[in-house]
Amino acid sequence: MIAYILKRLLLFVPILLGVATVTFFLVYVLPGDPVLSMVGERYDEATIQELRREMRLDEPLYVQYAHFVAGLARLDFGRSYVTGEPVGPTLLKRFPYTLRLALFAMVISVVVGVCAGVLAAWRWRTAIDYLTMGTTVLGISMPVFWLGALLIFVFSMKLGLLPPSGYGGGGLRYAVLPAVTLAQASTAYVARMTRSSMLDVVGEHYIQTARAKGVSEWRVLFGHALRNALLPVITVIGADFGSFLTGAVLTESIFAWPGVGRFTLDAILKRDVPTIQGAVFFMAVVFMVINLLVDLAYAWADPRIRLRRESAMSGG
Amino acid sequence: MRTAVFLVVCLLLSTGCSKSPPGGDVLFVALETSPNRLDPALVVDVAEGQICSLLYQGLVRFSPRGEVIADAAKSWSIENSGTRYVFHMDSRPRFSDGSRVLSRDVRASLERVLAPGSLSPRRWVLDRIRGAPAFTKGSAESIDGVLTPDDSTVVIELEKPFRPFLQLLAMPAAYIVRSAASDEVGPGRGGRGPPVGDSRRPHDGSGETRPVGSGRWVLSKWERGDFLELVPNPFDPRGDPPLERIVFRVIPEAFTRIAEFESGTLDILRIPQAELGRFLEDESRRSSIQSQPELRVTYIGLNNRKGPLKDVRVRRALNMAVDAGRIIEVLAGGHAVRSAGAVPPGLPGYAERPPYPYDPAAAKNLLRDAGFPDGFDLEIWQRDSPEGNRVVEAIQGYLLEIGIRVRIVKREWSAFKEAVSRGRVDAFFLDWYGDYPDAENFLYPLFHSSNAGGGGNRSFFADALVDSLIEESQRTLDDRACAGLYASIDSLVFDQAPWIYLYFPTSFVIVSPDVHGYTFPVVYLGEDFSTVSKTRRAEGRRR
Repeated sequence: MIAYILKRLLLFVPILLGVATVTFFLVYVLPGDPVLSMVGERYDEATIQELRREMRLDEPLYVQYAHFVAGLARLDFGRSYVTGEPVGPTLLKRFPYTLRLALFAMVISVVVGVCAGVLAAWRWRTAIDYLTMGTTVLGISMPVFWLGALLIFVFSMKLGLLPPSGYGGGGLRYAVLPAVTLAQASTAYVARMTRSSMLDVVGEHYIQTARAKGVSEWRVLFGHALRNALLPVITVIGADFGSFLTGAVLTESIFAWPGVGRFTLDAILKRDVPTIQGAVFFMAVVFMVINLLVDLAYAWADPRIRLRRESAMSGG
Repeated sequence: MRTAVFLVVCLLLSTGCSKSPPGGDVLFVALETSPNRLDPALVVDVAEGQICSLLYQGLVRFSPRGEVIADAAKSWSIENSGTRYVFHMDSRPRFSDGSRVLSRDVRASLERVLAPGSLSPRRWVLDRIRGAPAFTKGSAESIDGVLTPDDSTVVIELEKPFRPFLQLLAMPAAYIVRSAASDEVGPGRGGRGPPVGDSRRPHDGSGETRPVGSGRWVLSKWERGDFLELVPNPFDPRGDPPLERIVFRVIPEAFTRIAEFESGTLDILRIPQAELGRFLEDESRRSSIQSQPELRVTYIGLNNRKGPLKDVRVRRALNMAVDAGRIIEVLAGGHAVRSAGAVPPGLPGYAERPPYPYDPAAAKNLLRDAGFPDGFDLEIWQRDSPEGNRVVEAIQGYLLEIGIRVRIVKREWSAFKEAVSRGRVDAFFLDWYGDYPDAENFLYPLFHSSNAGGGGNRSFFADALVDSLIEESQRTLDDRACAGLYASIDSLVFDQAPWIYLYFPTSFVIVSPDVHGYTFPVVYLGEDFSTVSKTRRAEGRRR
């Protein structure tokens, strides 16, 4: 297992270099001049040239790329053009905000989604099944900005139960609406995936055997069927968690949540090249780590995968 | 697995539960964008300027009504036909570290903006001072035109008279920061202010530099992207203001700002145009609403150097094809003044003149005379904004009636600004915000040929007579004569139709009934919250 993880970690290096290179050139292909974002509405050409020199934007592209790669080797993305702060530490400072929101959303997504999926499968082709699946269609179809606005309207403006926006110094109440908004689509997907996986599994002989042995329905569903139905669900959860962690741009904007998503969006709008490069690199790392964890979770959920992987490692 | 679940729950619950809603003495204000730097030398946007105006003093500052009033200087005189300004400084102002504000701090503050390599985008604010260009080039050790004969006198000499110079000195670029050479009190002693950065060079390579100021307020907390908290400057000789703290919350979405205000967690709300009707119709709220004609003109810039738009007849035809009055009525709810010039109402030099009449038939005739009987294709560039989307689409419809086929191109700000400033586009929807309340700040950047492109004249308008009149107005110190000159210049430009003239917007704010003494300022730098107070509310109460 450790050898497998090390091999995967080594693979990170070429992938990250590829991601960084593509990002570097993409940013330069985009229209818009980063220097113009820094100078306000009235500026003179001399200041523009001075800033360009200071930011090394007057150097040939290959020289800029060499600087970039050299910085990358030290995990140094330079300083933000806009704030002057070092990009890496700033990203790390913003990450806990996003992590908190992502975890909260993930808990909602997994708990509500899996339970709803199991319930729908258990009561297959009944009103409960139809109602649950109908709700999930709504969940998938509702745009985030619309749901966010609706939740703020109902729970903040009308009922006054929860604050409309902000981080609130970490108060749990402040995270409820953004987390529900963020989790909405994921919850619906998880519910649908759980339901269809469960329906595949509940027809298996070992489930019938378990029932014949007199095992309680609860234990049959959650102890026997669910664990085997979890593989595709884990994939969905992993991908969603990755996207939560790399910035829920809309949710963070609506709820004025100071996370990585808004930080990256601001950087893109201001053509803050070092920040964009740092943020994309960071997102790539997060996704790769999540994917690795998902693969490891497969092994936890299905011992056959673990055995196959171990035999492949020993055979290789 | 159980451990993992436990850790997740711990993280979610780690920082406690609810925070109580805002109580009295703390004012909650929204910022639409997050300030990037709070160094006066580097300030370029409204949010940064607004915060800096609270943290720093200038020799002079703007009052809420837009007048220039004393700040660190208690008095001044203008001598030598407007080329010599002598400021007598108040002996009481103190920086937030307790040290006295001295004339050498003023000199050092001006030098750090103009210094070679300062990278300040606002050097233009001070470059009329005698010797400033030589100092910036590095060919002089100091600025010849800034003299400090003693600790409390500052003399500033200009190359030539410049009428709005006092207003320039009220802008953030001229704010006073504590000089590193100031020796009364060392950095950090007894004060709450942040450490002194390199006072000569704002971009000193150490990242954020936040010099010490002597404003009414001190920055006590700054969570980037979330909020800034300001507390009174403990050394301010004027004593503590009624408010205990001001919290500026960064809330980018208009809907969310409204929700915060409606929930009672925001005290002052700038009302978005789309919501204006709803707020104004509510009788119970009318007394809480304040309006202010903005120092802003909204227009469609026409590239005067490009294709058919080179012909003044075509530009006039475009003006006559658009019913700007109807656009104001329908799209701005009537809350704007139709423009027939670039100088906003309320400023000396504003003159009521008849706008271009809405007359599509006459516009078609003009186009035919100019050699475009079948119209032509035109690209109008805009930034994606609710106001822009509505207005530009309406104009697209109007222009089609006279055969001009408009293609709307939407770009984000940086790409938009680059293309427009380099003269690559036919036409563009834009507005110009005045930095200071003087018509010069509209006429010179927008229409003087030396400002073509990035200087503000993005329609590339060029007229030798207009140039010379603008220069004359800058030298004219007599108020009445200058206002007459401004009006003449505005009229001359209007006649040549470098833009499609649209409107001067009016802004509205609603202030919580708990807040007293707030005045919606003419210039965004004009409110220092020193007389604003807030009634203490029962905890948990919501409107």
